[in-house]
Amino acid sequence: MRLNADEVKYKMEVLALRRYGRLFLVCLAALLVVLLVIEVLAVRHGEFAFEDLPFFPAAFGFGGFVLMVALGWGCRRYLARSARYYSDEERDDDA
Amino acid sequence: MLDFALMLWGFFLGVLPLGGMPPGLAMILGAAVLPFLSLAMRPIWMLLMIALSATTLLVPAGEHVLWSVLGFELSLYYADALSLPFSLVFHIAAALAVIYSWHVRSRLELAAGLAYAGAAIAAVHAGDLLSLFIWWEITAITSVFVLLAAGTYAARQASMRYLVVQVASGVLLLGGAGLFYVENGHIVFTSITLDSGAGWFILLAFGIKAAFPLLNGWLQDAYPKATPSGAVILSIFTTKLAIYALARGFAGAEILIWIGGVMAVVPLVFILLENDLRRVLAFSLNNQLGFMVVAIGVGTPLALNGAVALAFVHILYKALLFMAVGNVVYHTGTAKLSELGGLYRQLPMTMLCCVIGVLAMMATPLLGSFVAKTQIMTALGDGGGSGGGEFVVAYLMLLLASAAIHGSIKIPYFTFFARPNQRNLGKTPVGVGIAMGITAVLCVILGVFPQIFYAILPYAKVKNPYDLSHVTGHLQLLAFALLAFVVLLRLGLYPPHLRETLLNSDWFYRRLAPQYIKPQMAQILALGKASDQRLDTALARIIAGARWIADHPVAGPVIPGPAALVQVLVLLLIIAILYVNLL
Repeated sequence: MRLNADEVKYKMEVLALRRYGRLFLVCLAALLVVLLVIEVLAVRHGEFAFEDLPFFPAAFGFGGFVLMVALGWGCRRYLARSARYYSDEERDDDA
Repeated sequence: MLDFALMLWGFFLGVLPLGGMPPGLAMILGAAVLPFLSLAMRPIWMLLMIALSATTLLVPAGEHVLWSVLGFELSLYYADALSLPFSLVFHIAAALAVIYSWHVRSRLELAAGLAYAGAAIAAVHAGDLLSLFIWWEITAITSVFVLLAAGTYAARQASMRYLVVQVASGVLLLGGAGLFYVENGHIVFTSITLDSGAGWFILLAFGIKAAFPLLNGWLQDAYPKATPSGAVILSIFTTKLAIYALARGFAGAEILIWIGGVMAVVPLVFILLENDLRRVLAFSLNNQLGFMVVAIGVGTPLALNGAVALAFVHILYKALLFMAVGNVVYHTGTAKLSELGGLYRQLPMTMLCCVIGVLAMMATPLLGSFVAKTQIMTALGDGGGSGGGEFVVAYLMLLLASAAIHGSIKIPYFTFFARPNQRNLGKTPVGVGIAMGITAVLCVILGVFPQIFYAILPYAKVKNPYDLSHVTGHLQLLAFALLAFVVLLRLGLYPPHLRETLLNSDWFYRRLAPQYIKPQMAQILALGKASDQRLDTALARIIAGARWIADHPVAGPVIPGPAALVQVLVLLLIIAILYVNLL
């Protein structure tokens, strides 16, 4: 199957995005490893005693974000309405 | 024309003593002239007026312009260590907004924007509550015109709701100022306690502009409906003016710790779900204000330094984000995340600036917000160390907000990456690129050289943010929150962006009031109308009776009706006189 110029461009764009995505993940993984090594080797003090627990910021960061996303899913049920819920809105601009 | 403007500027500088004019006034007066200038001349004129206003800051602390009116001594130019950083950053941000809007042709938007900025700067230097009220109202009115300049139906509707809310804030402030005068015998804008009605009135007035929980609806309703350049200028002044007012009036008010904590956490849910980029920014603005409000509630010198520093840098990075998103809207015509993606190749500089803005919002080390938030978190830690349970709770809330604000990473991710894009976009206006570049550089400079911050903060006490323990702890929090974002996205558990409306506190006056209160009001009005009709009928009968008496003889043909009426009145008068005399 032959692809036209637009389709080739699109495919290349997808591949480029995947490449950047992988690069980002590698950088993030490297940062996480470095931070975990420092956590093991260096002494860390927080403002409160509970912050001095090993890996507390890591656990709180990960858990806090997951908690907020879970809350988001739960709240959407009560907060979400149709796009034209306010009839006076979006009459002439959707931006 | 340019020569004329420079000559005028020189005249102003030469004639006016530096402390003889309240800062911001030159901008307001300059805005009146602006519509008559040519298109090319307008931004130059605006920058000149901002520079002229800024020169008035070169005076020592104290009261510089007093005005006696209606028996009050109004302090129109009061300068101290608290007003200086706000005034300074307002001038810088106003200049950046002018550069950003260099290509804008709307006279209304430019003139209103300049006057709005001037009024906000003048408000920062108001030394009494009455002057503050005057500038407070002028910021409200001028900002409505910035919003109206969008020219859309939605913007017109939002601007009316915005105006009602802002004027309500002004009325509360005026009422509070009146009560304050009755209670204290003066209207000097100083520390205000919450043990009287005046304090609560004024706190509520400030709370509306600071977008306290349930009072925040106007912010997410109005800002996204302005033009791209209008949204930038709106994001700078109103809320930060309220933060300044809270810092001056209510530093150490414990209730602010709780209010700020809720402000920091609740908008996070909306940031995660919202599809409209500019509403995401408006909710994140609310979230960042929460940090400042908590710090003001703590009220120690370190906490207040943190609040001021965060307000300073927040103005810059939030303006940067509104600039970047505004440029995306300018090119694509939409702010819906569900319709964007893959713009990194077409708008590389915008992408870079957006990433810097988001990293600043997350308080990433080497950016100004990291320095500012370190002061706040340390102040909370110090307060918790002295046994305050509320400090521990507020600390955890802010820590949660610091982690979950990673939801805002979705702004650059879904706008510039996420999916391929093959749009052909035009060129970014030069002013837009320059303004974004300068703002991004300022965000970095303030993080890399925190000494600049320390020099302008109101108190000497500061905490060095760059110790290994603090940096690695904070980076752990950020990096693992980012990991959570990636994992949830990969697993398909991150909430999708849907074309929907998320209910916010503006629902109370946009839906509840029209749906439930309007019919009740209609019934009350109908009742009033019915009783009016009964009253009219009764009055008509009395008048008809009097006329009948007047037109008909009551004692045969010799005493006509009017004469009988006069006689009755005279008789009643005589009886009344006799009654009084006999008593």
